[in-house]
Amino acid sequence: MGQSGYYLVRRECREFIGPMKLSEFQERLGRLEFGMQDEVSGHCGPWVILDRKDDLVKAYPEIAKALGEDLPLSWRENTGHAKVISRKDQRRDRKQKITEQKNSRSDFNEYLQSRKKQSTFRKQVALGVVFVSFLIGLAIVAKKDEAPLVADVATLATRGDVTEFLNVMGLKVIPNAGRLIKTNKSQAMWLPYLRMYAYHTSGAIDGVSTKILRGELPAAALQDCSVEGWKRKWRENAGQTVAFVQGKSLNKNPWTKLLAYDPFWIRRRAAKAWTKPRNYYEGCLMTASTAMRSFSGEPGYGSDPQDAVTAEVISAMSRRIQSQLEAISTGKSNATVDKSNFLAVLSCMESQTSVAALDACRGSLDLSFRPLTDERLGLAIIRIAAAQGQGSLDKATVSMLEGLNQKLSVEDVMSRSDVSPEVKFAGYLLGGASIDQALSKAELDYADVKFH
Amino acid sequence: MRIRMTGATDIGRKRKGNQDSIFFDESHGLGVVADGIGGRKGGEIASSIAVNSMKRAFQSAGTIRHGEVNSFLISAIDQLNSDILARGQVEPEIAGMGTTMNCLAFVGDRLHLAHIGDSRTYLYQDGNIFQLTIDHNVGTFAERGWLKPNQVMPGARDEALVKGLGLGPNCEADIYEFELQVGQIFVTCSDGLSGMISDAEIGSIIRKNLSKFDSLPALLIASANAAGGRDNITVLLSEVRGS
Repeated sequence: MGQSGYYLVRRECREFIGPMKLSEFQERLGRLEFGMQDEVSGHCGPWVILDRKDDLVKAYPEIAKALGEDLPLSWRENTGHAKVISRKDQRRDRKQKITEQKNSRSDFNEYLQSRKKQSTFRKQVALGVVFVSFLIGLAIVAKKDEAPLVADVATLATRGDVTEFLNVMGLKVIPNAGRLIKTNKSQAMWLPYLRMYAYHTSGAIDGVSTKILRGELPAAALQDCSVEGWKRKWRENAGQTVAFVQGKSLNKNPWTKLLAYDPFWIRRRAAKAWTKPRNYYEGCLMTASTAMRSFSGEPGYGSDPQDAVTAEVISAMSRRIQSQLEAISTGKSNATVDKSNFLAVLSCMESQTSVAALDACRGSLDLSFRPLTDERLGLAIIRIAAAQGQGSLDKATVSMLEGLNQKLSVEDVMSRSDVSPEVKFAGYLLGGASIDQALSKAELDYADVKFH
Repeated sequence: MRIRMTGATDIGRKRKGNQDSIFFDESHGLGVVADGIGGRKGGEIASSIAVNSMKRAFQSAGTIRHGEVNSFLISAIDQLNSDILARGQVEPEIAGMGTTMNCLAFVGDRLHLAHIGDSRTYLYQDGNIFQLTIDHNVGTFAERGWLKPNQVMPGARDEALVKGLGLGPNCEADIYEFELQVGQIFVTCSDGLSGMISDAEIGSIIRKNLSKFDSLPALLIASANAAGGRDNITVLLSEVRGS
């Protein structure tokens, strides 16, 4: 296994990188082209998740050795994140369902029989008068309750009276939430307010699946943004997160992904059936912020006076999340940062309103991290250009954007967000369009994205 | 880049009929292998619907942009899954038929690979062979921790499928992307090949017969038959060449 010295990486169960030699593997890992949650295979060998140290040592000891030597704060320190498996965890439920249907090659006849039996049973039950009456009764009750209440909570939500909104929702709506999402019509009415309630509280509602709450998402998006989920992710990834915030290592655990979100990218994307938060990504920041506030009272979350480093990191993370939320809400960021670590550079770029000041944000950032900020530099230029609303870019900005355009991929390197609308906008600008022309064209192409 | 394709299907040594289907079209950069689920009536119909639906979908789609290929594959697969289920509704004797499928769409310098079931696609490059797809069966899912023992039907065999086309209204294929390099060969096959000879043997046969690309399917099929040929065998090879 791996004896030929070539390795292939399967990233997030959807893309392959390689085949490549060990040295290239190390380089590309360093450039964050893949992460510890991804899988590696050698010639005729098994696929092994990089995070699973024991399996890795067994199948590809040379990779395990290289990782152990190279990562400044790696699983070597056993931070307890071995179970992070990106999309695969989310797939489990779906797979479980399918298996429960007992689909198998060898037992198809048995499977057909069991389905027929289930179907007959369902028909008998469905035809029962009592059951039908009960359903009709439920529907009538639901209809009577919904109409005025939706208007009530909508008014509270629009008025921005969050405390009263949460009270009313908590008392009158949430206990029946499961019932309210049963029909498409009812779900369409209530979902924006259920989401508002969820992401202002625990990020979850009993009786409403997380899939309904978050909606359809790209595979690379964070999938569990409940407060409990964030606390669990902290327990599993504290070491990596601390290293990231301190600027010692780059990794893509869910906390670092969240911290690296470009708030303006989030701000541009208003989604249907969302109010406040305006979309799932803002909701994730809100629940993460709630989770962090709860850290202070719990042992093992940096609240121990002896764990001053972690406490300081948590404080920096809180500031970062607050600045992201502020930028999403107001379109401006006033983050005060030192310029020596990656996260601070992102915050600095987000707070600039002139292109000329952007490059200085990178200050004394370690040279090896600078290429990762190129993409954000490009996105920041695009943001500042869009904010001008009209006119044309000056020559210096065009030249800067031209240099960076090659580095803009359709996905943000850290957060994995889809930035193709922004890239398209940049393309129009570089193609000679004025800012207002580029805005019109890009907004025509991407109706859900508001650049300005 | 140019894609050269070759493929073949064979009944094997034990089965009475061939339930596998294959289609490939170099000009459209499309290759499909489907393996009708054995032991069920209509497996050959399901696999045939699969390849024909994908063929029609691609031929009628015109130009598909890079960013649209994956969503196109997903919707085409949803449609063909519905087609299989609908056919089963009008012909009760074949209701419940199912099939696996690997669909390769070469667009520009990328391969988009849709996979459902236990047919496989391998990458062969410079003497190395890597299995790209994850078998959607009980054994693999249990090994990966995606299934717990209490989620598995008692007595289910490791090779029992957990995913396939036609097995239910919800059908989720794995979609992969791969950046192509000249010299790569993608080997797509039904489990009649991968269940009979090892990955290393597949790699070795390709390595020794690289100059006889068009003969490779027959050579691989012959090896599977020599090893027992317990199932239908289908092989598709797609080689990436310079333009």
